[in-house]
Amino acid sequence: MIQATERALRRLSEGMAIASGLAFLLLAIFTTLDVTSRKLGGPFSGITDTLAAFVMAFGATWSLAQALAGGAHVRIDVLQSLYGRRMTRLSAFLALLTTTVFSGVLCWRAWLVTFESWSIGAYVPQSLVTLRLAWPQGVTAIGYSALVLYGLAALALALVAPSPEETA
Amino acid sequence: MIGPVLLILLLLGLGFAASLHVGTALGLTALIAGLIYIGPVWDFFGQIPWTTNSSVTMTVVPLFVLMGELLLRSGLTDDLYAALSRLVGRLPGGLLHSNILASGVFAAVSGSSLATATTIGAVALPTMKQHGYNERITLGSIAAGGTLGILIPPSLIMIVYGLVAQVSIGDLYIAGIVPGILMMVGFIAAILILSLFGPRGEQAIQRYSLREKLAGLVNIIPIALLIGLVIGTIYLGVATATEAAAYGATGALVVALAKRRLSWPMLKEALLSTAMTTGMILFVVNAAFLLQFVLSFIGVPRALSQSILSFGLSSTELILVICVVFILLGMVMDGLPIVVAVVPIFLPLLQAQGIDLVWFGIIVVILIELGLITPPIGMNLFVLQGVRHRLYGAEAGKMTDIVIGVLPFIVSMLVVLGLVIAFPQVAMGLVGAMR
Repeated sequence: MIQATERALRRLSEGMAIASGLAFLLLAIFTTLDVTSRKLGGPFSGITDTLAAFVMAFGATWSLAQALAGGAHVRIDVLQSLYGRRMTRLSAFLALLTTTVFSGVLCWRAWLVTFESWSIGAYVPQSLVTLRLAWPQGVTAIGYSALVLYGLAALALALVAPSPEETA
Repeated sequence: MIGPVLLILLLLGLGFAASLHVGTALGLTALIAGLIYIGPVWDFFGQIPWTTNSSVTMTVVPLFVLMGELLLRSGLTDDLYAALSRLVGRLPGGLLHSNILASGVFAAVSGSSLATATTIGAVALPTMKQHGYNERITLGSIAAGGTLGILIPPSLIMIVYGLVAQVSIGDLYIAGIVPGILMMVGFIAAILILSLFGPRGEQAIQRYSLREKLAGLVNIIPIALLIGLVIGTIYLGVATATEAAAYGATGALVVALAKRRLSWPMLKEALLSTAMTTGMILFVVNAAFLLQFVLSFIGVPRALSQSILSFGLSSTELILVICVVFILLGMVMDGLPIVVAVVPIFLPLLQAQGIDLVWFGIIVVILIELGLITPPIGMNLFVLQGVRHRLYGAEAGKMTDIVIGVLPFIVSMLVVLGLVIAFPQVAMGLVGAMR
């Protein structure tokens, strides 16, 4: 059950990360065309910066869970070489636990920021795009939520089938 | 002031000792210290990450990473190494020069020292072994060449430094060009000296005609043009760093397409890798900004500035003291944590002394390069040893070989560092011309 959940969340994380990578690629192509056209005196959208901000808000957090699942988050391994096998596993578990806790704080606050923006009716500032600010903020919060969910699943898996160094 | 400083150092020390994730160690330290010394700081843990994540400036991170990922998967490394080997293979030092030159060009694509050392190491080690090159010097040249990844634009460490110190990433890139070239020259000079006076025994590589040499270069023309486009548009003021990064990523896609290397599995790998690296960096940068906020609110950087200023140090003395601190930290810490956790503490002090933060950024990057190849914690040393194990299994030699091999290159690095400190124009000349 836990293993199946972890596998499902891992697949979800991978899908989210590919989506964010694809968004970066499309942003690059759009920016290239828009900026080149502007430099050559042709038409331009005027929304490149707004779009870039949206893509970053989306891509920066939607890739977090996959970064955790794929071991991309950098750890300080100064003393790792001195640790024995048990200590290494313990430190991997602690790394996973603390990252899940810290991500939980970020996730909780991200949703609060989203709800506050929604309740006061805030719109994206200084932009030609008329959009409620809560939408991109909500997208960011979803990314943090996926990170927390994956962290919890990996923690549960580490407790029942301990090989936490692979997941942290 | 001593209480908060001790608590923050203790928490960071515990985090590092327990091998926590860098972002988590910084973020939880900010949270705990903030709650104790400022009060309910929860709101900032929503606002600061949102502001950071939705910053347009941040887009340089994924776009440059994407450019590198696409080019790496387009067969760049093999073409590059083969072309450069034909060019310089018969000079004194032979293929050792290819290691440095290939690392320099590869660095301009990947922006990462570890990626440079890993990739060039995997291509170069078997060839060097086959031709009977001295193993220690070979390893030293690859480990040192790999450090060029963070000095030659587009460097990820420079991006993070630019974000933390609030200086133009474009200026940093331009400032890194001459020191980067000087570093390559320094490494090549070290190889020439070693090959003239040191152990020899390598076989000469095959002689190539001028036509064959030029034919090899044709394969790397698209990459050279792309690198020229990215750096050139920033230098000429035609594009911002973000726009240049977009050109780079789109251009890399076109190169992959033209070389018939673009496929869904290749693209998927590139996108995944880009997303994961971006997520990791943004997670660390967010946490660093939170810690920076807490430190500033408590007044730690100001207090540190005042106490150091009370010694009456000149700007040069201050830079030298900071160099010693960073060299010591570099021996035990990776570059990213140093930039995000330590640089902000010194920023007010540097600003009070009127020190140019772009120039200081280049010094920081060179110091981090040093840290990458100085034991006991030199990431490039570890990475290269990993490559050896992957290639040769149990027959891979000890890491001591790499540590000894890299020593001459450390001397070159210190010389370039000295030049940049003594003559700031080495780094700032091009920036001044651009401004």
